[in-house]
Parts: sequence; C-alpha cells; structure tokens
Amino acid sequence: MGLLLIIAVIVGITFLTCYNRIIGRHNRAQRAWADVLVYERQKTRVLDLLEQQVAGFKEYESTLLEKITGLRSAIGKLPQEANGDALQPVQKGTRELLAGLTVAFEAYPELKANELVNNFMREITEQQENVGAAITIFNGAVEVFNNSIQMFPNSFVNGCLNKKSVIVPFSDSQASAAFEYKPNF
Amino acid sequence: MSSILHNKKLRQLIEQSDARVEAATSAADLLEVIKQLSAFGAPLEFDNATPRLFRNIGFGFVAATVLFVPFVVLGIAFLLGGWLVMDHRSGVIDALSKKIIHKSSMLAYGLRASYSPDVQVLESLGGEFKDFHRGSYSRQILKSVQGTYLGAVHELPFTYQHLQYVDRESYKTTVPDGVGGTKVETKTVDREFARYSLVLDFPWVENVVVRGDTHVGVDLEETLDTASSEFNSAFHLTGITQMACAVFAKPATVLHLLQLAQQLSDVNLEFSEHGRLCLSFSDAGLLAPNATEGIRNLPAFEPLVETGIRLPRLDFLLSWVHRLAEFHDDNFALSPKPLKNMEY
Repeated sequence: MGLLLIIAVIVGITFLTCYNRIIGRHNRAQRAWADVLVYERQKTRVLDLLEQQVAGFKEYESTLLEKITGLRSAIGKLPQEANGDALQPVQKGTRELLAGLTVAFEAYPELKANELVNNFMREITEQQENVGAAITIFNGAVEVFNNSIQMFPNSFVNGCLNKKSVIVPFSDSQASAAFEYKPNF
Repeated sequence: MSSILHNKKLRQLIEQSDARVEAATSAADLLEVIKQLSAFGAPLEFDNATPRLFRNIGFGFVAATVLFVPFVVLGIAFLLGGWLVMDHRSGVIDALSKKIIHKSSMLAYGLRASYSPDVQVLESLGGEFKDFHRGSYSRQILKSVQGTYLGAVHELPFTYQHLQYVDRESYKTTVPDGVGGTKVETKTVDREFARYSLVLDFPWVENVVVRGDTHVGVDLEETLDTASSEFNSAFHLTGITQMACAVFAKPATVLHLLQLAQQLSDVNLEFSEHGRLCLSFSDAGLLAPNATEGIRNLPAFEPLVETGIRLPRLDFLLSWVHRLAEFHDDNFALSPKPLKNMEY
C-alpha cells in the first residue's frame, strides 16, 4: 500500500512538472512571437515618417509609396497567435522596400544627400535587424517548445492534459529556394 | 669572422637594438632597427659551436659513468653549462623580437601603458562600478592601457585594466596537540585571481547590468528574463527599473551579447548611472599580438612592423562595443561627435 502511494506521488509530481514545463515553454514562444510583432509594428512607425520624407521627392513617390503601403498592410495582418508562416509576406515586403530605396538612392544623388532620409534608412535597417534577431529568438523558443511536446514523457502529458499543437517556425522560402541543396526532412 | 668575435658583435647589436626599441616613438624608428639588424651581414644566431661541444662532452661523460662514477659530476656540469649558455642566447633574441612586436602594436593602436597605477584610480572606479568590488583581502591594478577606437560612427576612448584580486578565507581545523590529544586551529587560505576590464564612455545606456559570472554584488534591483532561453542561461539581466532592462534587451542586443559570451568567459557589462560602461571578463590575452614571425626571419618580419602588428582580440572587442553603441545610439543625432575624454 505504502509502495503504491509512493509510486502515485512520483507519477503525480512528474505529470505536474511536465504540465508546467509545457505551459512555460508555450508562453515563452508566445512572448518571443510578441517581440516579433512589436518590432514589426515599430517598423511601421518609421515607415510613416519615411513616407512623409519620400513624398517630398515627387519623382520616385509612386513606386516607393506603393511598397511602403504594401508592407504596412502586411504587418497589420500579422496574427496574435505565434505562426512563423505568417511572417513571409512581411519579410518579402521589407526586402522589396529596402531594395527599392537602395535603387532610388543610387539613381538620385539628392535623395542620397538628404541627411534625414539617410537617418531613416539607418533606423529602418536597425529595426529590420531587430526583427531578424527577434525571429531567430522566436525560432529558438519554438524549437524548445516543439521538443517539449513531442518528446516522452511530455508528449504523453500533452496528449492527456495540455493538448497544445506544434508551432510553425519561420522559414524563408525565398532564401531556401536559392539553394540547390534540399535537406531530406 | 671567428666564433667569439661573431658572438660579441651580435650581443652588442642586440643591446643597441634593445635600447633603440625602448626609445622608439614611431613605426619608422622600429623599421630603422630592423634595417640595422638586416645590415649585420650574418645570420642573427649565436655561434653555439663551443657550448654545443661542451654539451656533447657532457653527454659523453654521462655515458661514461657506467665505467667511472666521478665522471657523473663533470658530465652534468658540462651538460648544464652548455645547455644554459644556448638557452640564454636564444632567449636574448626572442626577447628582442617580443619587445619590437609589443612596441609596434602599441604604436599602431596609439596605446599608452602604465604599470601599477595610483590606488586612487581603483577607488574611483570602485565608486562607480560594483564590478571592482572583488577581493576580500586585496585588489590591485597591475597594468593599465589607454587608447581610442575610431569606429565608423563613434570614437570610443577606452581604458583597459589588468587587475589582480585576492580573496582570503579562514576556516577551523582539528590537529594533534603533540600530547596525544587534539586542538582546534584556524587556518587561512588566499585565493588569487585575475580580471580584465574595459572602461569606456557609453552615454546611450544607464543603470543596467548584464552579469555572466557569479559576482552577484553587481546586480541591480529589478530582474528581467528575455524571450531567449539561451541568453537567460548565459546571463542575468538586472536594472534600476524593468523598463531600463526592457529598453536595453532588444533582440539584436540579445544575440549580440550571446556572440560575446562565445568569445569571452565570465563576461559582465555594468552600465553606470553616469553613462559609462565597465566590460569585464576573466580571459587574459586581449593584447596578444598575431605576429608569428620575429627577427630570426627579418624579410617576413619587416612588412608586419611596417603596417603595425595587429591585436585581433582587441579589434574584436572594440568593434563589438562599437556595434553595441550603434544599436543603442540615436540615429537622428545628425552628426555623431567624439565622446568626452576618459578621466582614467
């Protein structure tokens, strides 16, 4: 009887530990995703200010403004729930905008000479760097969480109690398309 | 040239070169020394024929000990004598190479070194940074080097310090009293350790501490865990408020700090309330040069001295700090200006 009681206590503690661990890791992944959203949305504030500056240069207003509007719209559509796939249009939009700005800079020296526009470029590049870092941290948190619900005994506890699903990490399909090598997983 | 004359001239040349390196104030002065060494007209190696003969005789005597025991003493004397003379001569040449390398790197980086600086300097640093509150028995700055890093955006004047701390611990132990009983004695153990720190103006962050070692005394009131488990296990982030920590722990900064943790051990970053940073760690060799050549290979050595011997670890750390400054500076400050001069 005593032995059964001890075994029951050990099993109970193990269940509780696994349950809490899964919750903690899920929350950390959600927080990492929230960081991605925060930095993406901070980027839209810089875009608003950049838009005002670029609007002063009529010649390239249309193409750049179009890209800024497209990117802002893509950032606005990001879901609250962690999902790496949802980031793809935002990352694509950012790449296109930065490429467009670089082309405009090269083509029009007066734009390149505008110190304020340069500062906005630095700011937006830095924000993008933070977004990239936030995504790296998010992917790390997703890996830890996914491992915790797929490995035994956590997988068993998750199946019985937590019932959490695997989170999709962010992967850059455009970058991976450039590789000839495809990993077999 | 006879062996004795060659060795005498080489010794004189090394002594003269040593004095000229000591007095050198530019790379051109060092290159003059190298030219003088090149003009010697013979290999920069001592003619060790005599000591080598002594050593071989020594081996012979030692081998002969099987036949005659007194040869042992004579053999060892010849062997040691020959070996000591050759070792000393080799050391003289290597020492001159090291001196030129050291001077070249100091000149290339515009560094100024001072040894055993005033005690007040350490007291002043300790007043601003808790990282210097180590060593329960003693603490001392062994070497201090000052310089300025000219980054693309900011000029960063810095002071690098090599510190030595001693922790004294007492404990009680039971020992025999000599009359069949035991008695309790108090024993004292000193534990000596070194830390290295870089202190520089960093006006973009205040009242934040990132601790990567066990010196909990540096921690501030509020703690913040980041979203990165890897960062949380490598560092402990504290600040005067949680807001200060949150503003500091940008994702790019978090990854940047993890990169530093891979390069240095027991890293601490203490941002004081006066807008200055103390970056400390336990790895020696920040000022280790990357020169593999010396005056034994003058053709390869001369171009290295001409361009200035690099200090790769110092380059890495200063560019790392500059990047951190770029993450935290204001991109709309129109023309970044050099920071104020370091007081110590």
